Amino acid sequence: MATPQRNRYDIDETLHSPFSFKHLRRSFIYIRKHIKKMTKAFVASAVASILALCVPQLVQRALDVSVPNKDIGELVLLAGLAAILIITTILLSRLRARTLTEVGQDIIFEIRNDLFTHMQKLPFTYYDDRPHGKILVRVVQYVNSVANMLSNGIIDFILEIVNLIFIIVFMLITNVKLTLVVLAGLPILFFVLFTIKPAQRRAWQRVSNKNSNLNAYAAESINGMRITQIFTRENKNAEIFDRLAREYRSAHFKAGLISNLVQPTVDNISQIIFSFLYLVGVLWSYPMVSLGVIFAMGNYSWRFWQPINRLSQIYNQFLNTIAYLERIFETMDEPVMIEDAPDAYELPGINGQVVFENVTFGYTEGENVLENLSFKVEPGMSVALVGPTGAGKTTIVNLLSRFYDLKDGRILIDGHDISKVTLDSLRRQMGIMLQDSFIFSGTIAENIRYGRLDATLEEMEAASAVVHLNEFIDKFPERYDREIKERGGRLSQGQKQLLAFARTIISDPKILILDEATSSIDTKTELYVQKGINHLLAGRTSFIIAHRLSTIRNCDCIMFIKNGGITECGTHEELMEKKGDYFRMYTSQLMEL
Amino acid sequence: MESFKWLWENLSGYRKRYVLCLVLSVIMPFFMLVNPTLQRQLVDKVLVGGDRDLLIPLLLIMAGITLSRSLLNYLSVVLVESASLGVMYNLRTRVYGHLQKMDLKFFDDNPAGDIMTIISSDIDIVRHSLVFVFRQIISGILLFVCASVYYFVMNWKFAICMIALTPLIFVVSMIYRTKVKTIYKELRQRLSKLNTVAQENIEGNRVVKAFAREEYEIEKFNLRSSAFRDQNLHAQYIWLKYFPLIEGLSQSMTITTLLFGGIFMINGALTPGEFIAFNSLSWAVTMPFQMLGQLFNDLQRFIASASKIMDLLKIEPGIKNEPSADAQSRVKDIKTPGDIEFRNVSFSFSDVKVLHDISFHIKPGETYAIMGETGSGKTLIVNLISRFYDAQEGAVLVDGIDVRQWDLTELRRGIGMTTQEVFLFSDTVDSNIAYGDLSLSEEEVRHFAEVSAAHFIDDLSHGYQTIIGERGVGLSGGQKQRIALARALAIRPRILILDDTTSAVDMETERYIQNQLDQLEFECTKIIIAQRISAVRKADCILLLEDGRIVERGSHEQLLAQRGRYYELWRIQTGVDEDDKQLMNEMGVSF
Repeated sequence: MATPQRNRYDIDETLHSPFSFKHLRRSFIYIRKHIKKMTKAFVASAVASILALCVPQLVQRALDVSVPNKDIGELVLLAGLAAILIITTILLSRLRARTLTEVGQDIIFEIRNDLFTHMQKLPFTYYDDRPHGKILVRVVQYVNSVANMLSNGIIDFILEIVNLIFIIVFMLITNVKLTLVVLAGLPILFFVLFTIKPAQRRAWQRVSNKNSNLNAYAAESINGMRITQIFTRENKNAEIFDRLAREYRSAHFKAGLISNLVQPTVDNISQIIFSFLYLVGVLWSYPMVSLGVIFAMGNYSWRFWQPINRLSQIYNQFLNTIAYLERIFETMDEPVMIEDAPDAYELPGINGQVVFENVTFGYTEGENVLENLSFKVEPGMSVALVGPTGAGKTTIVNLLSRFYDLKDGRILIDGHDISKVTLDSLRRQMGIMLQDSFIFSGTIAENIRYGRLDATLEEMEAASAVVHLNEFIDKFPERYDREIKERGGRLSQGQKQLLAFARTIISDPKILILDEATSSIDTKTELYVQKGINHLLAGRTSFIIAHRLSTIRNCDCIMFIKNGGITECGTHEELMEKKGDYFRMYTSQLMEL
Repeated sequence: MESFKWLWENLSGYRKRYVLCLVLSVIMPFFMLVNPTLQRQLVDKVLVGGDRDLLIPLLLIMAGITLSRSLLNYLSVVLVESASLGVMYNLRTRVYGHLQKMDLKFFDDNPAGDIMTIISSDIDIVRHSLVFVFRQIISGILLFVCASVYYFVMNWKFAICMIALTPLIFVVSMIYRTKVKTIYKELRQRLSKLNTVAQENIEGNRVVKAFAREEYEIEKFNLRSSAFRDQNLHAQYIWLKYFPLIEGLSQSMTITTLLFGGIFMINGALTPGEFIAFNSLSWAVTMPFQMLGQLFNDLQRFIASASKIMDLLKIEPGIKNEPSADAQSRVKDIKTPGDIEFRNVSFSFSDVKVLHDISFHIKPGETYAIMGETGSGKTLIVNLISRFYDAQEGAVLVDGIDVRQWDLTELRRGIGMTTQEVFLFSDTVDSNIAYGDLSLSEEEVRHFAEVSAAHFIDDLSHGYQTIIGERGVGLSGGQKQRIALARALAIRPRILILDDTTSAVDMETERYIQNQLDQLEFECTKIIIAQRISAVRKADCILLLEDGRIVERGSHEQLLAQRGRYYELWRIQTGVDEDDKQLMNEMGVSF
């Protein structure tokens, strides 16, 4: 059976959907909200564009009329007019720039927000299946990369098109025949653009892939630097990074080679057109058209090809950006595996009765970790889950918090099927202490308050006292305002666990799940903690995964998990009577001591 | 200025290419000047003069010039792309290589998000600067100078009128530059914070879900995200304040052309051809100034990023080889491989003393265990052996040699270590186990996995080729610990350090592992840090740590007999009550 492998730093994430303008259409959802401002910017730009076009008219007028007439008064008037036009143009451009920057920044803010919000709903598996650096690069770098395209790029695109239309109109007014000459270059350009497009798109996708790989490897290297140094793998890692950096360099270089073909194409076509213009103007039409008209047409032709030049640059940028946009939307389309049922209701305040009814579950299609598991835990009971590692203990508590959905069967809390209530109301009433006690950078207070945002200082003190962390905290002059570095920085593993414990306690859960919560805490501290939580456990249902005998034997009920099912269940005394798996485990441990 | 010098140094290997590209950028404006001249001929001689025979040759020359210009342009693009990507590559590998030498303190002090911003964003800004900014500055300046010279040669009086206002533009731009200086530094800072908050969210996604804190996270993220946006807007607003002035001044040349050009022509001081040439070249004088604002913005951005990279590269690793450390000679000298000695070692983090006067001596092949409360300094002791920190007082000796005299790589190569917080790489199980010794065969990897009781690997979806998630997510704590153990054993170390390695495995597995460790096929000194008595009882000597001091030492039996702290721990852990005593008696365990 072939389950799909996880992604790794050196595996490109292939994109299966073919190129489509769907992505562009989709970005219009974001643009639509700003349509008013966009219109304003657009009008300002359009007006500015028209005014700018009037300036050559003034020059032409001066050349054709004022100078031959030696009319200095008219020259001054024309210059004044030009000055007014230019100042107005500048002010309008400023308005446009301001409005568009605001729109652009808002749009990427919103995209980033949507992306991040969606990411919060994604299941563990999404994060487990690929290097974190590859996710990070999408949220920050890729969104930044599309910013310019979605704000300025799209607007410039429309504006340049409009600009182009205006220029064409002006050219038509000036001379129809010569205008057709100028337009004749367009089909050639389009032919070139569409010929290289597929290669260009592939090339930029490769760049985004290589960039993602490199970032993923760098990010993981930074996090795992200590291991690298322990195993003196520095040189080998530098080699790998060197390879990734080379791959990026060559991918980017190739993409550049293709993209940069566009500009010279435009240049040459425009020059050929210019030549034609003069040929036609001089050989066939002169002196039917005036010197001023040919001059003006030359000017317009230059002005006509300028927007085309810019359009081709926008087009290049567009192909480049779409490679990033595709990735962003791909993440936004990532299925949310666990979500509220359409008719989900708030789980009311619970007592903590937990029932598993014929629960079957597996992480992958073919194999099941739990098979037809059923048990019932009354409110306030403490349950110890014991058994060999990998038997499915963590899976059971993960299912209870609905981190995964079942293949078959039901889980009920106080009679409510957990798949029918809102996730938020479910998890808020549970306190889950994970094996990996992740600590955020920030103050100690912020970390404890993660469990309950409005906890007071007194409540925090009480919670830290329960886990025996208060002495440690009191060592710092800033106490709860002490800054903690990323991932707990210099705290010992045990201190991190205690902090995570305090964070769980303060959330005041009805159901408490402790998954190896105290494995790194020393015996004496654990004893204090034990005393502290013993009265804390009163009135709460608790599931405890632990290896330590003292922790286990005090529980109301001990379940021995083996091969995806419960082989024994009962109190310590009952199970010792039975002389089964638990007895064997317990005595073998006693022998050790 | 420093950043430019630094950039030049980093251009090494690509300097020729880049200089050639700059030369091309310099030549290009001349090319741009040729066509307007020809156009003037076109107007004066063909249009006005009626000499139609000149038309086609002139147009052909113009086309030829455009063609060669675009070919040269393409060449310069190829050169600049390869040079800038080369610098990017150089910088990336330099930064990465530098990071590998950094000590733990550095990583404590610098959030990963900040370092990632350097690798992903700052270096890219340097590349961008090479491709666009410097080239444009140089070609802009040249364009302006050439156009001006051309103007002066053609008609100096008119040229003066045209260029009269340019110093003013320069002054305004300089004022703008001072205003915008700090803006981009701050923008860079905010980007880094955005990176950090996103990264933490991704890594902590399990905790976020466990506490149903999604909304809080979104709020936190939006705060950073909007701070970044606001700074972007702020930068733009400042630019827009100066924009009308700079733009207006540079566009004023059009008016000058119209007014003075007209007057000059009326006076006969300027021919229509000259006028058209002036007019069609006015962009060459205007454009450099119009780009000035943008270039200043980009320059500031470059300086902000370059100084971040420079700062990083300037940080000296706190732990590095002493000048006298010589790997080759040391290895030969070793008489007592696997010997570890602490001589009156004291250690402080900033001003807090964490270890007090620690002394012990482990002979080759012995097993020592360290126990003690959370935060009592256990992990620190083993970190001193591998020289992840240097002790302020006393000396740590490995193989009879002070660790500071060791070549770092040689020292660490002999030490196999597992860390309390297990870190696995998102790679195959096989590669993770062979992390320290790439030459391991499949059988050897399997062997070390079996010694570490990692039999579960065969049940993973792709066996040893299964790619595990970052940091080992998806595996249970016990599974991770066993892979980490196999990884440490796989380098067949002289010294094996196990920091809380079996805390998450069940007792049966732990016993199996202990038995395996007792019969390793290579000679090895072992240090075991653990909380469970079961993990340490077989050690030759157990050190009990309290607040950074060794308070009890001796074998399991000796310490039990002392009836001191260790005995207390043992009593708590066994939770021995009357029933158990009876049970143990039945099983023939003496008590």
